[in-house]
Amino acid sequence: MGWVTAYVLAKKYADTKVVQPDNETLEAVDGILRVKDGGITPSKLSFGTWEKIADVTLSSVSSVSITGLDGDTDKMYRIVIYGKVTVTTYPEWILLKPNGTTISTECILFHRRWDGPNASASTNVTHTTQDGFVLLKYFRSDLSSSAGAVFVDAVLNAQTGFPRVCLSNAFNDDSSSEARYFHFDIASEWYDTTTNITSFDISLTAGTLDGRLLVFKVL
Amino acid sequence: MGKKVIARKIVYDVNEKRVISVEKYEIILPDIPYDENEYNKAVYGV
Repeated sequence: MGWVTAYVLAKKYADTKVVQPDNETLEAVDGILRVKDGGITPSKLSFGTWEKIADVTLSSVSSVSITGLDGDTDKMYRIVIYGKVTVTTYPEWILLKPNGTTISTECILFHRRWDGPNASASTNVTHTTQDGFVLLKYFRSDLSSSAGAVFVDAVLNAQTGFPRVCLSNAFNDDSSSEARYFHFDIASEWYDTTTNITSFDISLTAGTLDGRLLVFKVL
Repeated sequence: MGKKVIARKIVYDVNEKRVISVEKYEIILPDIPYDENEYNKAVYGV
């Protein structure tokens, strides 16, 4: 049956459905054929996209383990965290540890604070070694008040054969009397090129997280 | 002293698409007074 014929039939019979060879389902709406929404999946999009593989609500959480991964197959992960952190010490770190193990990463942090009501703008670049990929270096000066806001959007190349690198674009507020806001660009590198990543732990070095964690893989 | 809070360790499996375990335990967040010099040292690394 040709597509012109299918279109004519669909227009005539509004409930007609036609299945294409690649299994996308078409349906007639007001006499017009279109791809049914449910028939579209990320894997059918040739330009590649992110597929959400984990969506976790965080309530007083110190660590989250994401299991069932395959870094060689998934190739790349995107990690989004938003919510609030409760700590009483500083600085604390949100780290990502592949396979739940402590690793040594070299990382460069560019962090910036800009004007708050009582603070002056400033920038700073530091270099450090940490026990995992760094998602956020958390600062807070008013440790006695309520939790501060955080946001993390990080991408990790997980495929073996390459040094694994994580780039994190992150924010935290410091709702003290100086009301500082930190925006971080953080690059961490793990020199291991052979160990497949089959899980990872995201943890706070001290304190707890409330909010939401989303993990995506690339297709 | 310090602040006593209940913390959770969560395990989420992407194949099962769900949280497969939650472990609760108690932690104590120490009370450390704010010291501007220490804070700036931490922020600026100087």
